[in-house]
Amino acid sequence: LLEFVDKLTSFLIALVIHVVLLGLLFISMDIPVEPRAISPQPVVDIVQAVVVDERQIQAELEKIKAIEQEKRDAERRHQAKLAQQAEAARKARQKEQEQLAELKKKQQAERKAAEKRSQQEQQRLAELKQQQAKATDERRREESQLAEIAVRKQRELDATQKAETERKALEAEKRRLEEDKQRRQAELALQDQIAEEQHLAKEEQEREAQRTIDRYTSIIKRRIEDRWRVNNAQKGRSCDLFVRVIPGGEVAEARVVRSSGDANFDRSAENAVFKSSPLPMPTEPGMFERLREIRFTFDPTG
Amino acid sequence: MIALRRKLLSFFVLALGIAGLVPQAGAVLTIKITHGVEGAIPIAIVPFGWDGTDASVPEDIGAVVTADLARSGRFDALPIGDLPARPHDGSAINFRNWRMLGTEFLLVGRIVRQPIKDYVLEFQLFDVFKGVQLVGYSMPAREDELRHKAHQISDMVYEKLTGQRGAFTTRIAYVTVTNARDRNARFSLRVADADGFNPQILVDSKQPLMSPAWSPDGSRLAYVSFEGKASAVYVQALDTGRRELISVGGDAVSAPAWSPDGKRLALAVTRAGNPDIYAYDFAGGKAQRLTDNSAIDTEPAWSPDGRDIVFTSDRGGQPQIYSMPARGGPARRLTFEGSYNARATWSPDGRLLAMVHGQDGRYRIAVLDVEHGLVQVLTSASLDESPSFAPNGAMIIYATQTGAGAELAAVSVDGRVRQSLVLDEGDVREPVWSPFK
Repeated sequence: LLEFVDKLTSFLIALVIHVVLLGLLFISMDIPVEPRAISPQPVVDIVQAVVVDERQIQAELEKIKAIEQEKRDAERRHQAKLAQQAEAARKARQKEQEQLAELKKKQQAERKAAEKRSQQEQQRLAELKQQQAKATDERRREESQLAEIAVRKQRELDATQKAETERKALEAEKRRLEEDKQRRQAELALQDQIAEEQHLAKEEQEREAQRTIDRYTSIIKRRIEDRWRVNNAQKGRSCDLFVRVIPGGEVAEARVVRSSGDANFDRSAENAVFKSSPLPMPTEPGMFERLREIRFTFDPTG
Repeated sequence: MIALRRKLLSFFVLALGIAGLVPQAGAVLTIKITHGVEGAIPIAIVPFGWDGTDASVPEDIGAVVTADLARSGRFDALPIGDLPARPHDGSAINFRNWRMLGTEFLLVGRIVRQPIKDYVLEFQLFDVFKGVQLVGYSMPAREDELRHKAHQISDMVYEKLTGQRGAFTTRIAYVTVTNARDRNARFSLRVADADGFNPQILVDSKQPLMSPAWSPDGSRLAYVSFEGKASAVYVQALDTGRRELISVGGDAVSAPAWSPDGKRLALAVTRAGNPDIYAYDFAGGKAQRLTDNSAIDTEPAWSPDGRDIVFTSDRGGQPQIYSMPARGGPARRLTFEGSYNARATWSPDGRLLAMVHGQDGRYRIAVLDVEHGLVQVLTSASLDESPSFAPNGAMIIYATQTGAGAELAAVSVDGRVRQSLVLDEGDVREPVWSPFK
């Protein structure tokens, strides 16, 4: 510490010297500068100018120039002296500065080392911290990943389940639709079949009815023909009768709707029908309705 | 499931079946009747009522009518024993009873005695199935007219129910022969009612009488008599009995036939042993020769339209029927079936010729359809002669040889009905049916 104080004292002395010197320097330098502060522009009245003798002027100028040269030489010597003094001060100051720089350098190096050590320590700590942080991060990331995985898995699971559910629902819907379709088709097919069978049944019924009618037509025809008197004179004649029978076949009406022109021929036809009464009628339900009105054509040539 | 479906189906089918029972409007079944029975008209003729309690029935009208209608072959009369009732007028008829017997027509009537002597004959003809009267008349009649009135009823019934004019009030002329094979042979030209009743002698002769022929108006008869040296033709009025000799010369005259207008008489005149056809004109008293060849031309018959004359000729080697214009001209052979065709006579409508048709030694009555050349044999005996159409064309009367001799018979034009007309006297020959009056 003594050393340090010592150094600081010398440093302060040097510093004072420097300051003094520097002050001196500044004062001396201020004097030459002063003339230049005169106004450079002389006031000239152009109108009152008067021409003078050129040689007089030249001589005057030579004289002024010599004076000014003298002044400038003196100044130059003064200036050289001052430069010598400034050089010495400068050298002393430089030496001090060098010493101070060295000290500063030394101090700086120490500080730097300390800084470096601290820095290194901090770096180490930082690194450690970093490592720790890194480990933590790692762990967190892992955890996060795990969590993510779990979540994903859950999601996946959920998704799968949902998909499965949806798939099942879809399948069920599809199945339902398919069943509906099949049912409809089956219904349609059934309807179709019913219609077909109805049709066939109707056809068969109609055929059966027709067979019955044909059979009874034939029986009625025979019965009437067996009772119809004809003779040669009536050949070529024909007539139509409308005949209505009541249930049981009894002839309720036999009316000539187209006459042969021969009353006896017509009458023979009417009587043939009456004599055939009751006309044989089918007993099958509904058949009588189809035979209750019959048109007969009596035509021995047909 | 299947069972259910079947049930369902059968239900539908059943439902449909019920629906199918709905009658189809407008669909009237048509049945065509193409064949009938060639049968007689079923009729019931109730014996006519008689209000006279104190005397027997003057005439059995019902029986006369029944016999007339039956003889025509067109009617089938219900036997009297089968009559379910004996009503005498329409109000007493229960048609149902008659319908059940299949009787189509019913004739009822009665004879009402009037004060003094005369009668009123009432009759009604009913359509049994319709229950309506077809004919009904009330006719005054003297006692001796009753039978004739009965024939008139027959005519009306016949015409009403057949559409054809009845010929029951017409008459027939015929020749009877008694003791044909000895000296006492007797020939009579007679005229009787169509049923053979009321015969009257027009000419009586010991010599043969032949070929009677009615004038178209029915007032005269032409006939052949052998009373002179040769056969001759006379025309005799029925009402006066006055007769006229048709003088055409020649060795023999036979087979007179009237022209439809009654102005001429076609005859077979034999000259030099060869008979030819002549036409005698009453107005001019002269005969025109119509045929001229060496074969036998005889038995002329004038067509109803007067344009043609058919006759029998053996110009082809056998007797056959030929036709020529009534004014004479080229003859055309009409018959080609059978070895013998003779004695042709026209049906009133000119469509048919009745003739004696000989084949295989049997001689029967046949009709020839002039237009189509078809021959239909109507009888089945072995020796039938002299066909003659009834004026309505429905029957043909002819003579037929039986073991007992010749008698009259009648056959319907279609050959379906034949019956004998039994007369009370010996052989009966050459019947000819009178025209309508």
